[in-house]
Amino acid sequence: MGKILEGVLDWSEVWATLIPLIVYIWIKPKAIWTRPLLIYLLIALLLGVVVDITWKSKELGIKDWVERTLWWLYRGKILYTLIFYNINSFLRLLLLTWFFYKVNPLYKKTYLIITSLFLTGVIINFGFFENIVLSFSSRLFTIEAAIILFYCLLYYYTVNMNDEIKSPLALPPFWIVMGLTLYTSVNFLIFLFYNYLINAERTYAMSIWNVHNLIYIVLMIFIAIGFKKAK
Amino acid sequence: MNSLLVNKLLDILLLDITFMITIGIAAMLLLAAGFLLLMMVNQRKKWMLQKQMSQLKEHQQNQLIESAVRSEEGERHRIAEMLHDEVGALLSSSRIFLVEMNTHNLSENDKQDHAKVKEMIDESIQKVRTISHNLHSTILKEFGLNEAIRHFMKKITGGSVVNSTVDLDDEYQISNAETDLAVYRIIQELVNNLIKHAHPRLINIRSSLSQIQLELHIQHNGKGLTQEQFEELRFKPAGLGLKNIQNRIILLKGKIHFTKLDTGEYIIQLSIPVVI
Repeated sequence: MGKILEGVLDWSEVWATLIPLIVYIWIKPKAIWTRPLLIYLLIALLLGVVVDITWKSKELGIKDWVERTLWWLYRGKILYTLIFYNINSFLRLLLLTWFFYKVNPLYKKTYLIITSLFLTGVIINFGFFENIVLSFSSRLFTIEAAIILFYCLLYYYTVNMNDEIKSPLALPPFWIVMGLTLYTSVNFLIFLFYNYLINAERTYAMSIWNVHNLIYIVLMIFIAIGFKKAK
Repeated sequence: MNSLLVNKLLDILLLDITFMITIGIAAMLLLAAGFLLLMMVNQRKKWMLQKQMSQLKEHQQNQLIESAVRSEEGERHRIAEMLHDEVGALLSSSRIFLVEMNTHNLSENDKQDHAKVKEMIDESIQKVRTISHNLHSTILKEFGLNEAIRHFMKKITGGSVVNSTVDLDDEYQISNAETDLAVYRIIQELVNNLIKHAHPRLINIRSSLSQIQLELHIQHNGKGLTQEQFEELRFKPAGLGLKNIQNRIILLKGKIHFTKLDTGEYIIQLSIPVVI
């Protein structure tokens, strides 16, 4: 039972991402704000598949094939797939900025300034301080989570200022923003301490990543509901 | 370096980092969920308050419309009475004096002038009576809405190129004077507007009564209005008559709809809620 649950959670970044994608294909929402989310989901699915396949390559019996294909990610005998997480985090912020710009266009300048600062920070960080291939960037993930949380608060402020809205749950983007709020607020501390934990408390770090996976499933369900409501 | 510093700090505080992070994550989850819940409750409360405010505003607006319509009706009644009792009486007396005048000694020219003056006084008496009746219909008061509409249509289309047919549901016997008066004024305004602007050859008015409402249809073959044109015109200063119609409709809690039919004719549908 424990093994099954572990397997389900380990592969959650693949199968959970498929939930909103299937809903998207089924509903075909026309709203323009669904586009950045669709791209994000496709990228997340691709990176999730690559990460999980390389991670489980021994169990799947494709270790040799992985070694041949991803030779450039090996440092000695160790395969580093952390680059995929870093790329995912970086692209996620850009695509979610596009999403927030579409659902809450009042703060165009704010998005522009924050994105510019974020891009500069990423270049400086990976240019001088961290190796994009060898390390899981706690800094990148934490700042990304903080920025998304800030965007979510801006969205709530706009919704709250609108007296015509009876129930925000009737707004399709609200579900997605709600999912992002839960995802970023829960994962904020995980991202912040993950680098430290992976060295000091490895077992705890591995198990706390399951919390991330759980809340990721919640986020995907909320995105799927948002797509369904955007019909 | 950082890890060592964190460990040292935690050792000093006698705290376990894993415990702190677990508690922190749970707290963040609770905070986020609580925030979302509070936001939704707050939004609902705000919406309810907004709804109450708009209801109050609507009520106030209706009261204003009602008092404006009432004062307009009062004024119409007063002017109609003055025209009928004072100007009408004065003209009738003048006519009597004119008729009793000895015209035998008058020249042929003066006789013709005398006849002309008599004719003009007769016309004036008729005009005063028509205006007075238009301002305050005694037929409506005494014989009800259907008879008042029939009489009005007969009078307005009689002797003109416009033909009219009236087919009203005689089941309608509501003794609510205010509703009848408002409906009558709407019909009056609409038909006057039709003759003035749409230039129809035929106007048909028909009504049907159900348990809950009176349906009145005015169909014509002139150049009528569509609903979009009505909505646009009633907010223009020139569309005062249409604004009055809309005000009376609001007071009656009814509906009005302008449609162009496939045949090229136009129809105005009025739905007035009634209590039988």
